[in-house]
Amino acid sequence: MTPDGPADLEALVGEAQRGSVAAFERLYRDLSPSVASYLRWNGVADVESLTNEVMAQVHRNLGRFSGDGASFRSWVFTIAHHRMVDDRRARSRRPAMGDAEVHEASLVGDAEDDALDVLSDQQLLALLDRLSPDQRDVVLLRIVADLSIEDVAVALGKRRGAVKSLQHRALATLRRHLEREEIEP
Amino acid sequence: MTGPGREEMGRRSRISPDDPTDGPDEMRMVSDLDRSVDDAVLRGDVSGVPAHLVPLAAFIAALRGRVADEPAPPVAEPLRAQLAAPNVVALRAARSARRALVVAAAVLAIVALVGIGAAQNRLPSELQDVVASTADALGVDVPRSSERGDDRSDAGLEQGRGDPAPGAPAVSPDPDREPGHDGLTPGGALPADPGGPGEQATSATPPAPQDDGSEKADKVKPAPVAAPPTEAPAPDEGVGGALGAEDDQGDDGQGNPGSGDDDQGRSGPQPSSSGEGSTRAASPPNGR
Repeated sequence: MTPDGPADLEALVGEAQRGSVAAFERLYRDLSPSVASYLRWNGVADVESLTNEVMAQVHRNLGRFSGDGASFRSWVFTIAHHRMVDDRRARSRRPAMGDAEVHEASLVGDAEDDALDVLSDQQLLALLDRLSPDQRDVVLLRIVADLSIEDVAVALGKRRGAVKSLQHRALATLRRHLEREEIEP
Repeated sequence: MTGPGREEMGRRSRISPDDPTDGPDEMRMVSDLDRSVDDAVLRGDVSGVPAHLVPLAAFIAALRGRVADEPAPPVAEPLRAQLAAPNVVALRAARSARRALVVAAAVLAIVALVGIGAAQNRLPSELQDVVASTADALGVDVPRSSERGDDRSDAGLEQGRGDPAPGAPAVSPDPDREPGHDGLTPGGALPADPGGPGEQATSATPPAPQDDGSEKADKVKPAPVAAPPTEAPAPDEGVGGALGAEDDQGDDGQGNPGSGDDDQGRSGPQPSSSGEGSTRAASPPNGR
């Protein structure tokens, strides 16, 4: 799904910056699923379209980017976050999550994972809806985008301590609701 | 926000106005949820977290599972067209580099022009002073606008135009300005020998265009020929003075060597610069 590592990602970015379409297509294949997930779990309705817009913007601005692979990933999700916020504002309300194209995960075959799939997409969405927008952004950037605390801070324009606090409170809130609603794996 | 925070906000605001989800329960949970465990929970590591956090870790793991299964969205037509277009990225980079070069060249050109102008003291006074001050701070000696008059007269003397030395009556340094009619230049002090009419001018300086002095000589009344030298030449006389002293050439006293006589004096090269000096030498102080 993702490049072998930051160095691999950095090399791909370098090739794409030199004009390699193949390199950018590889970047698209590697990063667009995560971007799409981030947008989807944030309640974006037209995930495919917005993902394409995000990646088009990445391509347009690729010449201005400088940094390593991790920075590139953070940069891409910063763009995705801004586009998501724009979409959120445009819609002026969060869409009904049941309308989103949340797909059913396939069972992986592992007994533990099988148990985890007891949590349906609707339950996941309902739980995420318990979070404030900032908490949700932090959790999704940490989990879906796999960004570090520092990268999330950069993407959201917040201080590192604020991100840690938001993450901690988000997890506490999720845990509380999981207990109250007795959602057990 | 659809969570319970909004309706509970007022009740909890005394405890923590910053976060609607804060409250006694949350505070307890925050303390329970050791920050070091956060990472394990975020990884969805169900087996690596305390039992009371397993549901949370399971939630995270389920979310991660959905993300891992997310397919790459198909490339839409606009993006495909953008990729197929001429190398946008490379073009942008090249354009940026080109723009930077143009800006750098423009800046260099401006700096060079200002520097040359400042060195020659030809900038507008205010700009000249600003540049001089700036250059002075950098240890570079650039003349100020107040030094302008001296510099120009010095330059004129160096060029042998017979311009006045400091302290002499002001005379236009412009060689085209009716040479031989001011009668005020230091050349008047030269022991100029106007030469006989029609004598071929000999000069160490290259000949100037003939139409300079001779045309003007046609328009003016010839000054008295062979005015006797009255003063010794100034020590800083230019080439004109020297030529005036050395040349035994015809000079009509109007800056036209060899044109002392209208019929005879216009042949041959006529170095206007030397003629100018000689003319002034032959003209009375109020020769206008």
